[in-house]
Amino acid sequence: MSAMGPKGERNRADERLERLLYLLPAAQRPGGASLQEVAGVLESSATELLQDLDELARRAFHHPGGWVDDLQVFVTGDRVQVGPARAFGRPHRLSSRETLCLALALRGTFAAARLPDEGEREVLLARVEAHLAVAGTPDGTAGFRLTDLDPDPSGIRERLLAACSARRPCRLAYLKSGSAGLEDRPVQPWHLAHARGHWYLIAWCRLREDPRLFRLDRILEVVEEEGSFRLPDDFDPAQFTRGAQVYWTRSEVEVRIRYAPRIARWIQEQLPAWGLHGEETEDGALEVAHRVSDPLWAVSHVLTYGRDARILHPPEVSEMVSAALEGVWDAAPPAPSRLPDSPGGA
Amino acid sequence: MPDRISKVQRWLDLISFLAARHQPVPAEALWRSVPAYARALRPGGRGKETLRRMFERDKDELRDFGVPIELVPLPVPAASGATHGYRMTTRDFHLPYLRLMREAEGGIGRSGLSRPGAFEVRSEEAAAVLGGLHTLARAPGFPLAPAAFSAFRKLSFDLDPAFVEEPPITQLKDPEVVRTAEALAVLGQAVLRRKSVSFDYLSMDRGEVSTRQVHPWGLAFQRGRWYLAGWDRDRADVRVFRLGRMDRVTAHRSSPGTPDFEIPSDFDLRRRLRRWAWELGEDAEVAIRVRFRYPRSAWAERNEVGVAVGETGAIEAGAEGSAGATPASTLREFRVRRLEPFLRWVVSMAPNARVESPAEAREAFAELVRDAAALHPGGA
Repeated sequence: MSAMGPKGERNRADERLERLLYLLPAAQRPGGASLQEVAGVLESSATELLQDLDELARRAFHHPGGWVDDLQVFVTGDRVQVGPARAFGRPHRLSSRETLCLALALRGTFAAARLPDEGEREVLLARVEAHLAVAGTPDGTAGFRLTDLDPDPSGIRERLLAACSARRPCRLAYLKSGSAGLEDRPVQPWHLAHARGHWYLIAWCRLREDPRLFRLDRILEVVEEEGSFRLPDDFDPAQFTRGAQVYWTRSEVEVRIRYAPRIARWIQEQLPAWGLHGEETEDGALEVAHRVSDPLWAVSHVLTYGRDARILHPPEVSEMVSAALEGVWDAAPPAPSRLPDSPGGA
Repeated sequence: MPDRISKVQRWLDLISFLAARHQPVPAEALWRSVPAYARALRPGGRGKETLRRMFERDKDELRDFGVPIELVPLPVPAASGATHGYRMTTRDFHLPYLRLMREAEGGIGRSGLSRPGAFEVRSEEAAAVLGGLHTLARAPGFPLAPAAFSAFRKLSFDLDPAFVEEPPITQLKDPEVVRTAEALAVLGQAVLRRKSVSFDYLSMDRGEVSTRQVHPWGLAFQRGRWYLAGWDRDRADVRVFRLGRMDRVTAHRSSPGTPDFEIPSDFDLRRRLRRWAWELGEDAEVAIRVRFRYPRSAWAERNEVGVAVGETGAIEAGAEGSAGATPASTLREFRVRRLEPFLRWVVSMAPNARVESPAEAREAFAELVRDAAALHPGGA
């Protein structure tokens, strides 16, 4: 239903009808339905559902004798039962927008993880459209594209999703920032997180015996192993976030960077996403203090801005930038990171 | 006795009335029977023309909801002369019972009863649908999230709650998406209904704000942010706009049921989106080759970055952590419209990437490396 314009009676009627068209079939099951449970599903409240039922019941004041439905509502504590109401005995068919969402969902990464064959997903969509949707649903998917949720061409994300759901341990071939080669990392994959176009695996690393974050574009191979593991009871994905970023570390370093006036407004635009504030200098430059788990992130980050960004502090990180640039023209493989491995990150 | 009949009461009465009818009902008979409409026909009521418009709106809105009310020929013309009537059967609007195929083997489900006309689906298909909808509904800022949620609720209605798993995915919301929620809602509706929009837009290159009149053809979620692709009416060209740089987004309100434009059949939203900053703009493309050293070369191949051009550098013995021969480097080619962002991207991968050709790009890259090194101690 349209949400255009100010939130007036039309939008409230939309929402009320939606709740009732779910609640009424649920309440006609044997034993009725729990108001709290239905409220949870609808992201509403028991109070709001009772108001909806009250509005439903007050129709009777306007009904002529012999009206087509004699809908009766019984509320006992948390339970609500309704009967008989043939018109409202089932949820209704998928609307055009719901069908559009289904089409987008079946083209996304999670559906690809469960049903890898794209042709099978298209057949399933056609069946659902034919049998479960309102007839004549137009295809509106062309107007929406969620590329961040597109399937991973390498299939690695989908395999990790399946491993997380099945609690199956894996071995990763992982390219850690600054490493000279790929690392073999045995993990228990707990969860996936997405932020600003990057996907991350939150996992228990059996090598480090500690939780770790792995950026998916650096996972070059996944091999599932036998057995299963138990997710920690206190696992909470929120522990691995910092504002709008996926982040976790046991120690961090402050790196102060100066951004030239020429790029200051682009940096200002990024600051909310970084959860940081910048200090503007007299010449219009911007200085930002980043807290990072891996100094190599700061090296790559400052080089992303070429001649328009400079490490102010600490000097060790500035030397790492210098060493990286010196190594560009070398034929030899790069030297390992000059700083000890930080316990954070991967 | 409450005097006013609310809109939702009117809708419920309309659904009840038609669901109880086996034959189509002419308009006048329907209006006389449903209390809110009958009231409009009484002396002092809103009148027939207002009633007709109200009924048409109700029909359209209920159809958007998945409740289809159709106008069909009457089997026999009515006494009033009407030849058509309105129909909505429960078969047309009730969702068929959803059954997992496992149920036939005594598997899960709310009821072990077999139901005629049930829609059968394999468990992995059900998991794909429900998990996919769950993930979509939680995409940051997705303007159709309520529809995704309601589709999820409907399709999981018949299933054992224990079957319905929550995908192991957390999607973090960029502050820009939070800030642009209202604009997203307006643009989402405008894309669906094909209504023109206008907004003030900040051009980052020029640092200027201008008002744009746009036919919104599509919304895209990329790198955690939302972008609008559409026909810029003043510039007579397709443009892509970042929502975070928009202000005062409004949609054209008149004739809400009538589209303001048509979208060309060859418009492909995916092709309009650019993965990298150096692909943006209208400058001619230049082919630039970059050498990636191992293990960065493995990363480039895994992520389909550029196109491999087949030349591999000499094997380098003794690479740390390697077992035997290690692939040393690969050459990959890129089509670049904007040189500076491309060079900065390559230098961000130092020391494991460098520009090889053409000569002008290689020299510009070398200059960038020198300038960046001069900013840091021990510069090259």
